[in-house]
Amino acid sequence: MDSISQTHIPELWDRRLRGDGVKIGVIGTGIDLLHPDFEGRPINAASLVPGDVQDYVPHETGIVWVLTRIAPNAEIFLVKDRIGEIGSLSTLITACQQLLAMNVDIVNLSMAGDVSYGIDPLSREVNYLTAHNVVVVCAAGNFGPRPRTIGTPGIAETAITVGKVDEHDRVARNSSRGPTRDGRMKPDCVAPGHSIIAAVPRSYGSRYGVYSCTSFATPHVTGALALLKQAYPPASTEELKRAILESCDPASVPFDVHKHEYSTGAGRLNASRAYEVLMKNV
Amino acid sequence: MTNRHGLRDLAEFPFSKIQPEDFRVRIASASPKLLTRVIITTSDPTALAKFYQVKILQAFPHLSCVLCEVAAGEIRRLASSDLVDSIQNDYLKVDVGHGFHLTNAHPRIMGPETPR
Repeated sequence: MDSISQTHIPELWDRRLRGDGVKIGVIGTGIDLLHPDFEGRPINAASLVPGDVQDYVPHETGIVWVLTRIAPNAEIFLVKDRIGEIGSLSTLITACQQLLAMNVDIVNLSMAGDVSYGIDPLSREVNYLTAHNVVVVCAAGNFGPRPRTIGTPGIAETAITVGKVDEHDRVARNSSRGPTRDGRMKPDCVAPGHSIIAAVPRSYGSRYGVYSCTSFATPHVTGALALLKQAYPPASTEELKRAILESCDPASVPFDVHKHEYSTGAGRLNASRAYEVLMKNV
Repeated sequence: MTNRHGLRDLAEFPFSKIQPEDFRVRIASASPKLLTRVIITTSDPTALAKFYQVKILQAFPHLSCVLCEVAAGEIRRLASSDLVDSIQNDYLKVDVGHGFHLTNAHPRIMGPETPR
């Protein structure tokens, strides 16, 4: 089963949900806008670092590609804040502020930095965005199976922090584990992030690559949220987060070294049931 | 800040405000004149600029933060100041995942076609 069917997203497509009217912000390594699969897609890109918006590591090109598969009509705003893995905290915060000014509904942060107590400037920025009705979805990171390995910004209290499972709903060994240093429950949920086929920049000589990291679990949740936001535009960040977390399916952990929930969170994303929970609660 | 053996005395170094942990170690052992960019959380950036040798490059008032360029030796002074709540390294290295390889497979064989 592919990752999109695994998360029951096609059942939302059957309800004619495509992400219309929803704005998604993505911050990361850039994008190959000339990739053939992006032709005709509503994608905007800007760079806060010297040079163009081109993705020189195969990362955000793939992330945006997954988003365009799940929510093809959502408008995407990509801000390039770094080249590869190296950037600066101030640029990342500036990128968040720019996306807030563009009135995005959801921000996808497929990245994981240092472990903190959730009060570092980036975590506070995430909480600030959430307070301004922007849902922020963050990768848990790939530092498992040791506990307390979720870094910023996934450690932010209001973020939806996503770990990864394989095609059999088993949490991957290296998916970062909770709890946070101050004892909070993280990750919030898990989604498919193992062997995800997605676009790579054309400079790699191939159109597609296979990715295995929590970065690619994250856009599954972001895309599902875009469909839910279209279904009920007035939904608040809290209502959307609750809908996602109250509807998850169980996930297993083949080598549990500590509390099960610190690996799986609420469980694996079920977008179809999230829709039902959202429409029941609003 | 050296002890009687001529070594830097880490016991006197105000650790807890400087984040992340590996940055503390680097600042503790860095040349005092080494310029570095940090994000300082403070309720009073004006006083910060007045009393300490910091060059404020950008302000994030909604987070009570300022991006500063400051010498490593001054960071040690700042860390012991009541004006400063935290000092965060601006340099950011993020994990973007390493599990990647190219494929000739087309994604359409992996799942349903995205609707138009």
